[in-house]
Amino acid sequence: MSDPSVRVVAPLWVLAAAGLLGLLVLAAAVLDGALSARAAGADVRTGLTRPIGEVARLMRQRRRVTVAADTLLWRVGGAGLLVMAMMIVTVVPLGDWTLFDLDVGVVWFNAMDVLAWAFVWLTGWGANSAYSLVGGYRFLAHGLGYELPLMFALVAPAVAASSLNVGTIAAAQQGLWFVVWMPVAFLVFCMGVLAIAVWGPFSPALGPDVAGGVSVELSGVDRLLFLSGRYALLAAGAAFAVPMFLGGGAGPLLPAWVWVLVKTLALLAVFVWLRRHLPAARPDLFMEVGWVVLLPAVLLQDLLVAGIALGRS
Amino acid sequence: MAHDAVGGGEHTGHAGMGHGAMDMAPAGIPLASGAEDRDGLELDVLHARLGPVLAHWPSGLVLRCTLQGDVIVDAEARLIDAGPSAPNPRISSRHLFVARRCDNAAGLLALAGFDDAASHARRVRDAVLKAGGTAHASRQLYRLRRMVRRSWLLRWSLRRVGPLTERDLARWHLPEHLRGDVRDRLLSMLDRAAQGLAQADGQSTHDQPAVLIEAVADLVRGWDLAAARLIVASLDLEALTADREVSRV
Repeated sequence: MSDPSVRVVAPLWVLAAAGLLGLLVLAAAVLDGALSARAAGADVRTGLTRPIGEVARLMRQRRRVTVAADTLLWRVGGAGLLVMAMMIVTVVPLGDWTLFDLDVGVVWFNAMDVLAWAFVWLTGWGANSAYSLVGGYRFLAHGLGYELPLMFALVAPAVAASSLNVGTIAAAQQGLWFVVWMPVAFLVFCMGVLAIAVWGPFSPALGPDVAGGVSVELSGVDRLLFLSGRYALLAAGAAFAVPMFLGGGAGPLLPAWVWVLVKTLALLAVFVWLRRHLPAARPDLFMEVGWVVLLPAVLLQDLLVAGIALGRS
Repeated sequence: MAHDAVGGGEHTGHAGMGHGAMDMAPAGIPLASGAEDRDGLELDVLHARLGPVLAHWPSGLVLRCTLQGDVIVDAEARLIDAGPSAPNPRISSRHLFVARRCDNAAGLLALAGFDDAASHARRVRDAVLKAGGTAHASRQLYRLRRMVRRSWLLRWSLRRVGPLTERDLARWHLPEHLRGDVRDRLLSMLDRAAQGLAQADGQSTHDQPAVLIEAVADLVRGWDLAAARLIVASLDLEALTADREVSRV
């Protein structure tokens, strides 16, 4: 719409986008399995096939029910993460093509990431179990710490490109990627993606100390949806970072769509790798970091970016 | 099921006295009673039990907790099936001592969410128990200690949790190596494993002073669930051989 270099494709391509997201989820799960197997000293190949075996197991597993569960909200929460991830990828341009050339694509992403608050907490609430409710509240405590810095991190590229359209932001990075001159915003964005995927340092909501927290009573297909939703959010977040910070489809030799995929996979691999290498950030401690360190840092970044954008125009 | 039926019958009895049975016990679960929390606000009280079987938990230990939110306002500890485990003739007590320290460290690291270090600690444990794996285990243990010591995120996350001063140790008759916060105790756990590994066979590694189970309950009181789990894991208890390591007063 506002950027002629991005073309909106036919609605049926939604299926292809969902398939692509599915492949990214599988790649992330396989990588995580391989890394876990290597760390445990087992054969890496057993880790490679683990996600597939896990899918088969969960598809066949009978649903476990708890007493007085709030079934509707529980199911909504469990399936919600996957839906969120799919909604996010609709505004990410794959090279020249996009499913949904929204003028306010950045705000769209923000609206979607806030849904994690509801979905993760509802999954914790619905099971009517003390541990899963504790997990749900841990996620909300993390949310209080990460959400505002994440919002202000999204502001920086939008200000620099003077647009909220994701395609326009990608096009504005010809020559110099935003990650180079707004590294703080990029890092905070990546942190936000880890947080909405309840991943790595943000996994106390699923912690082993509360027997799996939010996911403690999830079984069968519900657990499969929830777990693949987390991987899908990681993948969607990595894909969204490409047009926002990593120059979109810019790159030598290869076509633009291949570059988008390569960059997405690279960032996704880093996210997956981080999980095993970082200890959990306890929500009470992280709250302080979010408000005292991250929020001022990202606001300063926004100020700097706004100053440069003003100077340019 | 029989228990449920009895419970339901009791509530129906109450209903006759003017309470609505459906309101007092939805789906047969009685509503929580409230009490003042640490900020003086009225908050629901939940009675939950930790153990006797729980991941990364000294098996046999049962902690009956009174929770408000996720804060343990009161706790009572006891042991079930306390008895000496049959000694394994094929593994020396020194190797068992080292393996137990590594296993406890692995549990603590897993609770802290540091999965890579936890896997590493489990591999050291397995190497120690394998015949002739001592040299390999020493190298692995050295790397593990370096990894744990260097992680500033782990330091940030574990410091100031469950601090024990000299006076606390004396009060609960706790051994010297439990001094400091959870991170200090994790490092001392790994140091003791390394010392155990460096000693020759037959040399006495431990006359472990007993940890009173009442102390466990006192130590977790006032902490939230996550911190309480870390504190219990950091006490480096000897699972299954409860009467030797952990004793009643």
